Amino acid sequence: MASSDRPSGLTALAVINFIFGTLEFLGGIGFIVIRFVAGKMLSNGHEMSAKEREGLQVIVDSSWINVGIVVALAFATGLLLLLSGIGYLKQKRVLGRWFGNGYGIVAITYVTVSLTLLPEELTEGFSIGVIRSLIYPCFTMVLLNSTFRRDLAR
Amino acid sequence: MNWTHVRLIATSSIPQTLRSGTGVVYAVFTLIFGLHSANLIVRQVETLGATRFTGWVETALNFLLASVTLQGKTTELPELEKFGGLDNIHAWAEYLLREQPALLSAVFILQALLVPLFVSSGAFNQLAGDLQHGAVRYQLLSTSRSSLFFGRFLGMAVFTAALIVALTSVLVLFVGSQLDLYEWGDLIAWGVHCTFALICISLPYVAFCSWISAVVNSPFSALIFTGLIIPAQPFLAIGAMNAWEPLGKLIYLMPWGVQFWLFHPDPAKVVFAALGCLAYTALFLFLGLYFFRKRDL
Repeated sequence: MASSDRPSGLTALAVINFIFGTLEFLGGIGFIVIRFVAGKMLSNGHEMSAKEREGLQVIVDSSWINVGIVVALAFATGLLLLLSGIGYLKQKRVLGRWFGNGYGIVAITYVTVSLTLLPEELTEGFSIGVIRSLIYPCFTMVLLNSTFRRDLAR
Repeated sequence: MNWTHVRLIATSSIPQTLRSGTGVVYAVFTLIFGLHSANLIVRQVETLGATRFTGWVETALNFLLASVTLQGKTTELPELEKFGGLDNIHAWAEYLLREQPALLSAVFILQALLVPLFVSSGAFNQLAGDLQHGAVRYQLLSTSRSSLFFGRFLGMAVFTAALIVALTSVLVLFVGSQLDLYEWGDLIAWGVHCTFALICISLPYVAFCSWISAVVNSPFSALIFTGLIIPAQPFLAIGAMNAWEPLGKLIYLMPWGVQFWLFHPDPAKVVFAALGCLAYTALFLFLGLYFFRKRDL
């Protein structure tokens, strides 16, 4: 199949995947940085209000294992986004369709797990932002299994 | 014009829109940025508290509604307010924030500002891509120009309406189930009204995009035209009014000056605004069809 047979929707999906994939990696690194900086700020005795101190303490009290699990899921989501993006461009069945669906499932798991394991100070709790982060995985799965099902067959 | 053709073209253009890059970007952009902007407002309630939030939104609403309804030069609005010249606007804002669910009003007024921008970034490629590649000539072997034009418009209008319904449903469900601030009945009634208002607002802009898309030969040029004209027009009109007041009427070149009346407490004005939006839609469609019929393919 020539590359010109690729629907432009798949190309757009791939570009969005690359952007969101990079953001997922940055988000994962952000969790580590916030956890680390919060600890440093508390131990260095920075001037802050009692409410801010309480918020930072909650972040510091969250276990490194929980943070590690969430960061691993963020990286997995980012990696799947990047790989499936390449799959869309090459119109591959496994790299595109399977990895794309895999991304959808891992992304939903990532949102659920981060809400469960991390304190609200780190995730903002269940908000419209959470629904927003579920939109793209769901949208991707719907498109891959309907509109672009026959285009990812190589 | 053949209505069966129009229906067939509209129906087939929806999946076609999704297969095209613009359709995917349009859907993702509208849903994600629509929810993101709503999230910013909801976060303000949590940060400021309900009372300060209402005061903050009231100030913003007064300024917005006074500006788009051309109550006076933006520089003179504080003075007008001091002498009671904006009492009608205050009553309008009071209605939105006290008689209706304030949070939903704030979110939907913001969406009313954003919907034209979403449309301009997603509906620009109804015909321009096919015109660029010459595909229109083959499509016209089996249908007429007017059927093709209206079919594409109808498909895009339905796609846009579906996105708006998805966005507003999520917002109403979230506010109702998570925030426990308002009665479900009030939320649903106001949500339905605002969804209808947002769909009405979207129609003239989709029609404007149809017009531009039918006269420009490249999707990129169509995007530049719609993406510049639609958001810049109210700023230009209000800026021009500050220089010379009658120039403010330029705001009526597009529906910006009419669309916010869809949220007015007086039902007669709401109906008038809805008819205004439909009139703009008809005008843009007429112009689009006129130029599309005349143009050399």
